Amino acid sequence: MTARIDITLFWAGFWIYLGAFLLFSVYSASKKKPAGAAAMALFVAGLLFHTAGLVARWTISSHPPLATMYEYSLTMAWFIGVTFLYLAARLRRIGLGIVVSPVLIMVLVIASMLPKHASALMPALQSYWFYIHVSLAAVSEGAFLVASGAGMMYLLKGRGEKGSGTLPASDLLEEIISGSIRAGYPLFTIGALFAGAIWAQYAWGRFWSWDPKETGALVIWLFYTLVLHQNAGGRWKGTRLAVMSVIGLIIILLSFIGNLFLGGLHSYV
Amino acid sequence: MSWKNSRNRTDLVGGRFAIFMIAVLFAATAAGWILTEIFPPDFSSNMEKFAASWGGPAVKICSSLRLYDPFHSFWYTALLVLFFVTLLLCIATRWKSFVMRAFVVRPPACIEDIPRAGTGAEIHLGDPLEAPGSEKDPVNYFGRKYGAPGGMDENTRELLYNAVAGAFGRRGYSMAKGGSGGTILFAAVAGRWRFLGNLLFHSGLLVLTAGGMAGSIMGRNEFLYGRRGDILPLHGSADSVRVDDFRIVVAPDGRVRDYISTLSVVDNDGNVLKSGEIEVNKPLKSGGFNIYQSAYYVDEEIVWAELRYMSAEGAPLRFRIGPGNPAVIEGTGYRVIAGRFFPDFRMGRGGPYSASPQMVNPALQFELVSAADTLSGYLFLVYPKFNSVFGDAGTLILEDLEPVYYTGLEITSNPGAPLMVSGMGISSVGLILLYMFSYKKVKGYITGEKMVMRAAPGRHTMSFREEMASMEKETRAAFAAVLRDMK
Repeated sequence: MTARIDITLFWAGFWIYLGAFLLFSVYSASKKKPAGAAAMALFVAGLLFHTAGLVARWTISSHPPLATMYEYSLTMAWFIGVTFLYLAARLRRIGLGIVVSPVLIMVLVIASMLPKHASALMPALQSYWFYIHVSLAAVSEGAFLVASGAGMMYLLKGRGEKGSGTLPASDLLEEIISGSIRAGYPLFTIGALFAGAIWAQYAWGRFWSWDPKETGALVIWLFYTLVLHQNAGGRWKGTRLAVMSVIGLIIILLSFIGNLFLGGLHSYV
Repeated sequence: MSWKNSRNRTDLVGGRFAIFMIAVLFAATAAGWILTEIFPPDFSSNMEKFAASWGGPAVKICSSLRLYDPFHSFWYTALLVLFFVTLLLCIATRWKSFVMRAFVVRPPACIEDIPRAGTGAEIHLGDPLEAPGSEKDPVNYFGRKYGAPGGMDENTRELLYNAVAGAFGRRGYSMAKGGSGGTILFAAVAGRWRFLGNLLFHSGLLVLTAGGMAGSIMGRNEFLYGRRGDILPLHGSADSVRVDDFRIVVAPDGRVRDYISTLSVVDNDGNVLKSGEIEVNKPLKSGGFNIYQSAYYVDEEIVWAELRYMSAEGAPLRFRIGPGNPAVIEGTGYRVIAGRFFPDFRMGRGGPYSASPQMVNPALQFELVSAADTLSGYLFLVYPKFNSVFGDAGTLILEDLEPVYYTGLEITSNPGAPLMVSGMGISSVGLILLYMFSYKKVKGYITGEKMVMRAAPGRHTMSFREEMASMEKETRAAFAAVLRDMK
């Protein structure tokens, strides 16, 4: 019976986030402050349910919610939500909600389709490296997803140039793309690659096994390394940067859902 | 033309070639990722079979390029080596400039060094502005009232520079001042540690790659598996590993929580050199190698099985059977004999078999023997009611069993490991510096009649533009104060 509480809270959070997204859309279209305030209030409420769901999950499974793909998605979405609140408060830009909330909802939609069973940690995961590796990977991939969301907005805005007043300014979107990738890259490198490799050496005696998930992570890393070099050199900016951020989303999704059918050392995730 | 100045050198160590290398490595890794998954797992061992269906030339190409295992192919190794060389050349030709930019701030050599356009400000001493309301601007007001071209003497220019330097300093900028002929040239730089971070990150990657190559050339890796009491010789060593014990810890929900081996490293004479318990994430170090708990397997054998027998009348009976240890069911005249054990029972064309060495669908073959007849069948642990009724003989249910486990050990030695860990550490420090500090550089000059400051070309974030706007406001106020003092 208790196993249902976290899932009920998950669904409650999901629907509230969806409501917040609709209100953010209204705010972006109308620029009416009450709509923005209501959207923020609803988003905070969604995050509270989301947090409660994670706490419940943690209590039920007796370990931080990072062990399965469902838990990983929930945690990644939570980091996205918390980062948005921090940035919205710091930059005083409620309009970012129209970029962040659809990304967060997309992650939760994926989570809703994954197995939700909670169980004890399997032997391979019983290490403090697990928490470092998985939580940093979740935060960094969350940042890359925010970049992708902003990239999609940028491209949508580009197409409907005249009727695009409802979306944030192109400059701001480009800065979100660039800033999110710059925030995610070091975390991904240190957390997903380095911490993962050191843990693998500690647990199995090999830093690297060319496991599908490891290779996927390397592909993601090489891709964003390329994007950052090109961006720093002034070559991939504006529309190109936006397109690349969307391609990044495809690569991350391939790596993420690849676990469901590729197997390998990470097949339990 | 010398190598130092040749175009080839520039191309090879230039940023563009490095980016090209990253792009190629990305494409090759992505292709390898897909190839590994689409190739049949038995391709390398059954090439004749695939040659019949795919055609000989296709299989030959796949085989020579090792497309079924691209990450161990010659072409991927060559790419990694080329990446390493490019990284090495990039660092070798740039480290000095990175160190200089991290530790030294230099003022512009002349006014022409200062960008003519872009983010920044230009504040004139005496020029009346044409914009509406400009007369209320304190700089213009005091400029018109007291100033004149060339009106600022050296001391006033110094005062103004100090005000500007103070404004930059409060925002974490380092200043450098130069100039001649009455013109003060200055540079304000923030986030210089970024260059050190960049150098450390790339150097760390170089060390990491070198460690990886050393490990792949000089390291060794061996899988061993054995049962309790087995002595497993170590390849290339006079020592052996003895499995003293192996046990599995099961959680209340039936899942495996841990698997633990007790091992002893013994020499030729049976002397114990080292012993200890290992489990996943807890290896045993001995000599130059590490022993890891890698996996466990279930043998097609049991130690015992517990059965429950129920007849139409009478209470249920529980008893244990094992290999060579049949049980007699009291009052029935039946004997139960244990047969083959299947950890993962499947029924194939050739009869039953175990699909994996894991306890997925454990099943025990048995015989129910009486003086009159012999019944045989399979009892299933996960599906106890399936196939459990034997007519008048009664019902037999498999309630529990203890299989024979093999422990899976991985023996490794990796001389490149310290280099790899150091490389990751250096790179991590570099990444933190690289992305924690935002590099900003503003160049400017002060003459008798105006002050100009402009950001060096590059990516100017909105926050930087806002910072420059507030800097302009503050500098205008400083200008006004200096002009007021001139009065």
